[in-house]
Amino acid sequence: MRRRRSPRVHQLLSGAGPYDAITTQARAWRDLLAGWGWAGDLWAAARDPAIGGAVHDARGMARRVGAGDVLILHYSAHAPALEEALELPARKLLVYHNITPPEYLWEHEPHVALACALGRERLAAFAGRVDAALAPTEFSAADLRAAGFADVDVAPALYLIDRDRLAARAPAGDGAAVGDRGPTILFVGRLSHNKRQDRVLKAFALYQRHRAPAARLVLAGSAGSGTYGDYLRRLAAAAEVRDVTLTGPLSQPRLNALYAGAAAFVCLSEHEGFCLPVLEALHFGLPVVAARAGAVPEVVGDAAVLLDDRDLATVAEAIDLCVRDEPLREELRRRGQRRLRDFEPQRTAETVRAAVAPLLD
Amino acid sequence: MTPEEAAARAAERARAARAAGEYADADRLEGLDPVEQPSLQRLREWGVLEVRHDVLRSTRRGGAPITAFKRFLARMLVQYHNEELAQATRFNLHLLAHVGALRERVDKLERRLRELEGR
Repeated sequence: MRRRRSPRVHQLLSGAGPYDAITTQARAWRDLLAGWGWAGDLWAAARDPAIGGAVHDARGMARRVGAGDVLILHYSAHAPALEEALELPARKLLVYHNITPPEYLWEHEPHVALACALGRERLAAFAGRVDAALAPTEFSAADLRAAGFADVDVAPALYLIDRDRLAARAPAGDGAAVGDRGPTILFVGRLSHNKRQDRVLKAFALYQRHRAPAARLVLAGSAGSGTYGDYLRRLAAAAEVRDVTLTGPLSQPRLNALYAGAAAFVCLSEHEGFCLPVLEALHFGLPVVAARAGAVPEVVGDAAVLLDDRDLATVAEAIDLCVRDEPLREELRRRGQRRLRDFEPQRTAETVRAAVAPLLD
Repeated sequence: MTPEEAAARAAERARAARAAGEYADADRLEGLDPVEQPSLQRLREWGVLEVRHDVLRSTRRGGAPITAFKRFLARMLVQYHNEELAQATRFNLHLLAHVGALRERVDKLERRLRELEGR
């Protein structure tokens, strides 16, 4: 009889790409798991060809996952492969990264909206059929509980803030650096209506017109496959706002250069399952202005200017305070560094180990 | 100043600035929504699918030979692709014809409603 090797911990994603946050986290987890002798592969139902051999096609997964293994299901959208994986003999850990409510997406990304609608609808099918469920925030855990999951663990340090990745810098003169004429206001995230880049743009228009004529807005992030980017360009023209840049996807060194040169980070998202860029902004010492919505208040803690007020003029004034008021900037930097200690790599390692180890015993 | 104080201060400053006549453009900006709804005619144009070999490419670095190979394969499979696209195009156009008929009925009903309300 063939002897089994030590158990393997595989991970299945609904989609994978080189700049995708969940893919990045899954790769970091794979390295951690391999370090503990629980090596395993990454699989995805939909793969961006640019990801190469780092992530395998989920259709080949069933042959490689055995009874003594653990399978981590990264749930972020509907994919039939995730549900099919429930039939595999391995023990299963569902990690819920949250799913954007489809009403935000029908207009600009109907195909993504459909995947999100199905993903939210089918979540209930996983309740009681996985061995453990994990969410990074109470905000996301509430979705799991509403879908019928009895036991949900909440672990904010689920996501790794990779300091080495954030230390890489783009070479000078490659176009990533920010100008020195006026303050650069930054938001980082895929162009998506739930992230409300349109409201960031409108608030920035007021800030530029009334407080800082030389200011510049950079909306960094992939345009995805929808029409929201075109909408934002039309909006910028209609709002008569100058110096707005939609960068498209950026390599990490170029993104780091933007963080390093910006004056403030503004996040007016109405729905975020976590929002890793807010923590990255704290890492760079950027003052953060954010709407109190989604999981953002849970993630950022007291290290941001959190606004309950949806008034655009209030946002513009909050940006102005964060750019000009040095004692406020210093206090935000101090609180930001303190908040980041909750996301030290050691914490992530402990979280991943605590989630996976009981399933291997 | 703490971040909590800053949030309150920002709201106060916005109120004061509005009272002083600033931010008169805030309401216009709030209402801006430059949505472009494509016309039914435009949707019909989009609904007719066609093979575009020029968008077929390799995403790999130095992928020119792969691009050429993919385009060769696409040319070899053109009969199959045409069958599939014809099926999808038929579905799109039937659906748009249905939408067009529904729109006409809604227009007619709205006209009739206005007439009745005007009596």
